[in-house]
Amino acid sequence: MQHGSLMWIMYRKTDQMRHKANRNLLLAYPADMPFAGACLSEAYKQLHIRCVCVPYSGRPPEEHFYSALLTEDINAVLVTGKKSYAPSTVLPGPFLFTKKGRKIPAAWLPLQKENDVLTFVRTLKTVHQRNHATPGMALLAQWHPRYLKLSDRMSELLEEQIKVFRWTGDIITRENVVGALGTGLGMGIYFGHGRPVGWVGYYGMRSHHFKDFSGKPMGCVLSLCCRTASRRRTGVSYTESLPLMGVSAAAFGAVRETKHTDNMKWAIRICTALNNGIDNLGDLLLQAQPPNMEAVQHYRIIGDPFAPLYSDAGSIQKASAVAVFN
Amino acid sequence: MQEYDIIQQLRLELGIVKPQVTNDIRDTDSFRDDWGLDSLELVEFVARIEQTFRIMIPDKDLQELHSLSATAVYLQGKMIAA
Repeated sequence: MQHGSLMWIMYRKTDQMRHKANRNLLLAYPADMPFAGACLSEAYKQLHIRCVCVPYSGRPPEEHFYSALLTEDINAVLVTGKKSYAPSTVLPGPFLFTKKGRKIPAAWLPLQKENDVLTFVRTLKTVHQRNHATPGMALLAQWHPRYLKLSDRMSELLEEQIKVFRWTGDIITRENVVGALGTGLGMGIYFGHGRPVGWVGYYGMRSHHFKDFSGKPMGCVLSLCCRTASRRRTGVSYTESLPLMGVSAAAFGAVRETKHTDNMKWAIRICTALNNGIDNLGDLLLQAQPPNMEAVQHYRIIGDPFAPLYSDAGSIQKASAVAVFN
Repeated sequence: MQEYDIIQQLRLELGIVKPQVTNDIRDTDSFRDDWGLDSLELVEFVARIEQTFRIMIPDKDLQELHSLSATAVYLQGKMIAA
């Protein structure tokens, strides 16, 4: 093994240990759903993440509610609540600020039934117990030159550090993508057009296509496109449905229209952050966010803000065996 | 930061985006017309500039960044304003 690679792995390991040591999550949950609060805080405790539990009454609290609670030792926020509340109204964006103005990731998780909580907890435990040393990523895109080119470029930028699987709309069918996403990779990124009900790519990918999903969950799925976290003319948005169905521990999607240039900037900066050894979703988004506010504010994190980006043991082998048309 | 230093940094970033752009590129060469940079490459270049110089470049200003010297002048203006 080359000296540089060894140093990089050592850096990753020490960095991960530092991050793992003292992570604190502010968990806000409805006072009339004590099961959700108890179940989630216990699950995070088992993952060595301390939860500061805050029950609330009525609708999810406004932004100013958190500013008083977010001390400097808090690393992320997870707001859970009834499915009737939309991601766009629960949080102002993917980040909140601590008392001293430090930006931290903030996520939303809609819940209705006990089963929603149990599915999420199961996914959470699965992805957090993975071996740190195997990062793997799925590049997903609509069949269009603009998005295929961006996928190719990301692949080039990441190939030295991360095993990348290009499963774009030109070389794989929708049914095979669903199966491929169950190989247990750490992360998936989609480029293309998006709708509240799903991705336009793959001749329309919808949450019901994951109805019989029996694969291993991903750490997170990022939809760098328009409106996949919007509730317009749909019940639960596509982005929200992924963690609820156990497809991934976290998902990232937009509640409004987004600009292609902003999404390209996200993509390039995500590559830089991944090449720097970032290993979880919250840190990735903090490091990769473009400097213009509208590129960031339109997005929301759904699910686990600490979702790890490393893959399941054996997933690289399984992902390599996925059939694509070349 | 002097214009010369900015241009040297820009050459480095441009080399990452498109390795075919060698040191032969003149300060006034058009990225698009003389070196064939496409929209993805230009946006990647801008994203790298934003990260390196810790500034924000709005989309409406993208047309101003058509050559190394024009980009350096733009960045100097930004840095003075900051």
